[in-house]
Amino acid sequence: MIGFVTTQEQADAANAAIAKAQTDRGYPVFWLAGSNLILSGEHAGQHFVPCDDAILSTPLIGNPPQTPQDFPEFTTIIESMGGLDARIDIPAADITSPQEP
Amino acid sequence: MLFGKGILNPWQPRANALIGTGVVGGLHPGRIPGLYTTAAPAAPEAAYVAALIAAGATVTAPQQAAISTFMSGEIAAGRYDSIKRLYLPVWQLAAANAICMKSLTSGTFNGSILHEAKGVRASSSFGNMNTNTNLGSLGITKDSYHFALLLPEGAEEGFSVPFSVNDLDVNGISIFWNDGFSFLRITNRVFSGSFLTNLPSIITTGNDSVAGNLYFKERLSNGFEGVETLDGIVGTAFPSNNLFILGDSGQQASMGAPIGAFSVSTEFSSAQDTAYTAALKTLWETTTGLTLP
Repeated sequence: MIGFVTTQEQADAANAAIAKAQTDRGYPVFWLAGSNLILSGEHAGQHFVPCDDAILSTPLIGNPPQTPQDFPEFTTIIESMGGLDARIDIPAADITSPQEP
Repeated sequence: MLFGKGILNPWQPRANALIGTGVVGGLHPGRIPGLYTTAAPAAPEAAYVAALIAAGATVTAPQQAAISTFMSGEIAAGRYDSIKRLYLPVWQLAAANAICMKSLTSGTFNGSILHEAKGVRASSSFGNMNTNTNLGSLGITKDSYHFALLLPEGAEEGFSVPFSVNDLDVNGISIFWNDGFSFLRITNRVFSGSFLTNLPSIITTGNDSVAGNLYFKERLSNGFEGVETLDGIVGTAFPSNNLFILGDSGQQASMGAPIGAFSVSTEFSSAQDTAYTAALKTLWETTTGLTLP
């Protein structure tokens, strides 16, 4: 799982900025990067904001399709989390919370 | 922002602006600017197609015709008013895939979702789509409900929750695979799913108040229906949590297999369900150009 390890506040702020980029253009909020609490491992207790190639190349809107990287806000949001080079790869098991009934 | 509460819909003015402009549907005799509105209704699919185009999707004439045929058929069959949310996420574009065909409201995709020709799926274990509404707001209750899920590649038999309300809580609504099918829970009623093949299919569940039972069906491409019924009704009221598709509310247990269509409606009898899934299969096949294997 490639993405940013950050605080809940920063994860929330990043997603709020992504939402604002859509509402500012009159769109509904149809896409967010999302975030997950890291439950175990080296970064337990922090939050994970996914930012892998699939996220970066998500066809969001328009013809031809714009991806997150095509929005001017992209650089600011990414830099708020330390830049693309700050991304790390964490085991999926660290954020998996099986909910056995 | 009131969008998602059924109050404001950002797609609607964009869609309306395109209807009758020649972009979609051509000049409609009932919408001549500056004159009057006649009784002639707009084509039922026009607003949805306009919303798709406004989001950037390319909708071909055969695709528009397929949507028109589906909607007209549902109206004629008396099922259309029962449908409260219907997503056909085959447009390979998040904004378009998030649009409900019926209400034109938008869901919100979260996480790493792939938008493919046959539908949407999570690229990892994490992702979902929040419908931004709950069943109560849609008038869907324990005594009148229906869910449909079109699975072009069949069910993912790993850890996955294709749709849920209140996740896997014992008072929630969820369908759950965990190293094979585990259960379908409608609050206090639980289906075993022992009949499932997990092949490409349309999976539905609903209540049939005339028959006095609840049903869980798997319709294969050849029309074969496997079915499990439970006598009686659902006893526990539906939770007020939002409805999620593709994974649970925490973006977990996400579907790695695609979802080609999803709908939630008020009650369909078992016979209505059979007719509806046939129409939904045709809609998906015609709009994608693919065949449900």
